[in-house]
Amino acid sequence: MKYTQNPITFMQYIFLIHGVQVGVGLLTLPRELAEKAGTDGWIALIIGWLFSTLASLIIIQVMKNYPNGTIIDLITHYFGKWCGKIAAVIFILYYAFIGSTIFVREGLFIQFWILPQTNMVILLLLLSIPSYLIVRNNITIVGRYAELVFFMTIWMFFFYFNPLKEAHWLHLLPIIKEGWFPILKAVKTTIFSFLGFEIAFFLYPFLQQKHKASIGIVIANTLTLIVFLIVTIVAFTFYSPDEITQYKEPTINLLKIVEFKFLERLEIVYLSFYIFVISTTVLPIFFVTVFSVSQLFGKQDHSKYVGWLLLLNLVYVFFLPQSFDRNTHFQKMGEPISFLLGYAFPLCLWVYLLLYSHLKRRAIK
Amino acid sequence: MKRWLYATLFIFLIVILSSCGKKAPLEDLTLALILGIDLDDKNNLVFYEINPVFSKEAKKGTESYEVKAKTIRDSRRLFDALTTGEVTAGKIQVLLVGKRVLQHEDWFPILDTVYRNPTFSMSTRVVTVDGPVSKVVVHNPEEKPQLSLHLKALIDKNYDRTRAVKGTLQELHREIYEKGMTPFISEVKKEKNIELAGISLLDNKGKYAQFLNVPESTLLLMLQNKKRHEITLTIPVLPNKDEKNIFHKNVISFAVNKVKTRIKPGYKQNKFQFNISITLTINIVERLFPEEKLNNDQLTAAIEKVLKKQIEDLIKKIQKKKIDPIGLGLYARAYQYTHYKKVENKWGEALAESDVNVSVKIDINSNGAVIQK
Amino acid sequence: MLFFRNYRNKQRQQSSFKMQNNDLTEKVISPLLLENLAEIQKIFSETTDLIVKNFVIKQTKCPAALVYLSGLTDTKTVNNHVLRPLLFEANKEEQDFEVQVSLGLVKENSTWQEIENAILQGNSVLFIDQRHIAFIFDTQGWPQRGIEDTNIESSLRGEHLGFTETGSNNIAMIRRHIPNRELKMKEMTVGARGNLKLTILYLADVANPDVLKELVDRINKLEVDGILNAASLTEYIEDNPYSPFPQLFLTERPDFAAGEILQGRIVTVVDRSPNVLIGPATFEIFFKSMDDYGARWIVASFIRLMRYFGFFIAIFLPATYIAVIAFHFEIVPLKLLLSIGASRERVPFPPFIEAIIMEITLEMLREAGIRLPAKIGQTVGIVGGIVIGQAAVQAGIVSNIMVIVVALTAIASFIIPNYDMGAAIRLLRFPMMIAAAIFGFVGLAVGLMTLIAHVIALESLGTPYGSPFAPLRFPDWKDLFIRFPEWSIVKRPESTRAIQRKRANSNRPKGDEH
Repeated sequence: MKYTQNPITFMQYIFLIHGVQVGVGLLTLPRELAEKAGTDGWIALIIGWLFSTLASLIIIQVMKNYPNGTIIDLITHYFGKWCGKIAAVIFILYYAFIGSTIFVREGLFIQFWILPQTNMVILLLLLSIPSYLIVRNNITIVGRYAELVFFMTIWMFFFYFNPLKEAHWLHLLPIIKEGWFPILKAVKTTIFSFLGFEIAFFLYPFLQQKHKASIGIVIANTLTLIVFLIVTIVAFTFYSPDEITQYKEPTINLLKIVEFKFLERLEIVYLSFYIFVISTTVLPIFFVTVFSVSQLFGKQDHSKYVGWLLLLNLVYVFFLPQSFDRNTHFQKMGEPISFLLGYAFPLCLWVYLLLYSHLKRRAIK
Repeated sequence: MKRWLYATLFIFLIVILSSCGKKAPLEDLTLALILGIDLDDKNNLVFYEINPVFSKEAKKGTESYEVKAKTIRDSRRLFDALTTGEVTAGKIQVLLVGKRVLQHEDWFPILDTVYRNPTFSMSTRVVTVDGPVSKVVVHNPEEKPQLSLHLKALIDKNYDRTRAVKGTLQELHREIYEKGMTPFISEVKKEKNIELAGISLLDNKGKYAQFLNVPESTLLLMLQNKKRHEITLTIPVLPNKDEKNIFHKNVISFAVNKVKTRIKPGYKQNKFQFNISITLTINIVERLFPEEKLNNDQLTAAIEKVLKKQIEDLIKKIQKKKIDPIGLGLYARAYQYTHYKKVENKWGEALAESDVNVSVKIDINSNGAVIQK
Repeated sequence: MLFFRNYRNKQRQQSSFKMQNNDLTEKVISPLLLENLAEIQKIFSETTDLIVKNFVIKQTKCPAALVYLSGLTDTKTVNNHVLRPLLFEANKEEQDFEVQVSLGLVKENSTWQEIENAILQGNSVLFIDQRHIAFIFDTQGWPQRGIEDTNIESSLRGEHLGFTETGSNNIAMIRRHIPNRELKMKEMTVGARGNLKLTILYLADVANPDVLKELVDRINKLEVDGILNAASLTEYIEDNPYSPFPQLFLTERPDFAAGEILQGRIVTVVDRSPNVLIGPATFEIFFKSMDDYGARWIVASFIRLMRYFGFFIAIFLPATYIAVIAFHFEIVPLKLLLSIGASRERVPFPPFIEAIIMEITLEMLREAGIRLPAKIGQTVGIVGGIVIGQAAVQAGIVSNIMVIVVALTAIASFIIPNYDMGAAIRLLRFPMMIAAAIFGFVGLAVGLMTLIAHVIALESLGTPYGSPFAPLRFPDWKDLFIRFPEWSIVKRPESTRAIQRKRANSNRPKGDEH
């Protein structure tokens, strides 16, 4: 079987999922939460985590029905070849869209904060080089990358303990100040922040220890929650609740005041290396895209599609100049689809498969 | 064949890449280290800038410029016309704001570019200048390090000794937009030398409201639980009986080891109530009167009384101006949210009406190395 | 890098080239001595160092001829143990002559191919009239140097014997460390003209058979006229020839080689080369030195950490300097910035050019120092020191800070114990400098990312090169940045894919067992 040739370990599985979840969204997350729920936004995070964990577990339950294939194989198996093809096309379009939006957003952030004079296309061209080198390999390599980058970048989050010196914990009080309604409104934001776990649809067949799939995805979600919580709480305690909504990317702004004896303006260094964190979002998504394309065409080798995907991205950026507003617009456009694919689709599929096996069993009796 | 295609592509890529992202290196820049904003007699905005001169031929290590411009960004154009290199704002250490500027209610928006433009540093210290900024900017004594380093060190050292605030752009921004408190920044003035005067309290729009001298600043910072490395207080504890009292025989100095301020907000009779209790652990480092005049308990009581009085005076001063540099509004919001929410937009007035009770508790830790009879 | 892949295959497909004009593979010697001698003269025409000694064996009274190459045989052995007994001793009880030759290794053979090879290898061959076979005596003895201390990988506490150019000696030196019957060897010959003898050493119950097979297959595939040393052999058999990183470990230390065999790696002893190949190599073994195991573990760990730190300094420091000066001066604290500014004020070049000038100068000095005789080498050092340290700064061509950066980089790159890895690192800093000059820190980050992308996909003999970083194998970290005490490392590293994992039993008393 082609999936067992390039297996991923349990750890790689965790960090692949976690990596896809944490990315560009974190940079704006504290503001988005504060806009909706004020300083109670962190509660929304925990609720969002609950939802995403539930959805993740459902995905694993679904995948257990067909452990040796991706979601596309599963659909082909249960619904026939054409449904499989349609599903493949949907997933390809979805991931290509999401991947390209994040890729462009990454470029926009770098351009705005670090290299304002550099052309966007050239910046993305630069970022394409390592992307190509990694995505053209099999999932094992992508997994290794995610794993390594997690441990390479995890220390970066310790910088967030520095602004805590000037934290005002009073900002968090009173808890649930305006009732649950604004918090629930913020949950709408957080369930999108946790998106990325649906990549398990594609990772599951590669996983070596399949019995650990559920616990792994819970760990990944929890890690993501911890990272989100740290950054959000630091931002909420550091900034006044009346002020935080003024910063577009409070996560970066927070680091502007961090100073060491030998280093100032940490945000420049931080954001340069945040490229690594974002790459663990983009690269698995790119991988899944080209992998699905190769599945759609029944090819074994996905590596030649990588170049085309990256080229397509560059051409798209070249002819359609990007801006934050346009990008945010695209992101918002993608959200309903994300919700459908990440939450609604697995649930429906799960219910269907339950009924299916139930009926089948009864039929045998 | 394919190899050559790739190789050509690669070279092409290098050529494209190398043609972009040109930025002037460090030596071609003029680093603005101090930015000054002031109003001249005719209420025109004047901007000052000090930058280092690296050239060995230049006698002085720094140079300063003054331009009249509409905004901060606009001033860069004019500075560029004067300086050797491109003026950059990335390293501004101190932002001097003239008191005349602060006396206008709507001055804060002129700092907009500072927050909008990511090149600006957020840890620039904002300092009020009592008197014209130009006097401070031209001050360049030979025995001191260059002004930007000196001013920053001056603020930071006093910040460590709990006498001044850093007042960074970041803090200023927070305090301006925070409804539950009003901003405050350090203030310097130019007499013979440049000296730290104290703290300027601004109202919630940023308008200059009240001046606090250095001892009052220390008390304010103590109330905010912002003790840094060292606090030394010198206060009179005995009535001044001696007519001459040349040698201030009635004062005592102590170093504060620990200070813990507890603020308990309450709401009674349509008024906010704040019970502020301060606990200090002190070491006596100087006492100019013999020990028999006051025993330990009496001394404790005397210090408590004087401190309580001073703090109450300070709070009255604040209430009178309808400002809240202590941040009592934060406590009100945290513990009396519903009541606070009603008066959120005029918190200064609400605080002015509220009752503030102060209690001071002193704990003498040590009396020093000698026993004086 | 991909685009050379096809090229290699094409080379493989070429038909194997002819080495000798007359093919000897099938030919057998004749029973007539004279015919054989004529054949010898034919094979070794124009070979002045060939000696053919005709004589009559005293024991059997048979005419015979001893053939050997003069420089490659040990004259004393030939004279004392072959010629003297054959010429002068006669033992009445024995009918044949063999017992008279007092040598351990005597082979009999009748094919010309083998005989030719034997002579070329330094054996002497005895032809006897009326016999269908020739006798091959092991009388090898070529010019060789004695065993000396290691040159490149010197160490304080390690063994002070280095490999020499004689393969059999090298094998012996390794076997001295592992006198175990599971130490197996595979002998192979490479090079149609060079006839290089390779001996693959491994522990049969530890080393992974897949890795061994991979290595043997790769060597078997080689078709080349001659390989002159171990380093050029690696170029033929390594996984990715376009990588800057060495993928097989070359060492001249028998103790290191033996240690790696014990870890489950495979050592290839290359005859005529003072280095042996160790594979599969991982990125981290290039940061190990024998002294790590000779020093106390705390000290060794400190040095290890310093090496990894040095690795990053050597690759990224000049690039960081360029990025900071050209793009992100904001991150430098003011006081340092002012002194950098003051020192750069007279420099007429952009930081990239400045850095390139200095780095190239440094590399040239280093290269000049290596090839020159020691006495002149010192002069180069002094001249270089003055040029870099003093004159360039005073002339205002480079800044003081740049000199410090270059010096630090140089020291950091020399701290890497392995020469090949050190060279790779020195080379890698140039692309990093270019990236930093164009994109600042973003260029640096992307450069690092590309480096990581390369390393995690790289393999050595089909084994992940990046292990234990990627794939992450925490048990192997016991001997990575921190060298744990030896008794606590009870398992062999997973990175070698050893089939027997356990290497020791922890015998430290635990808890109250004291």
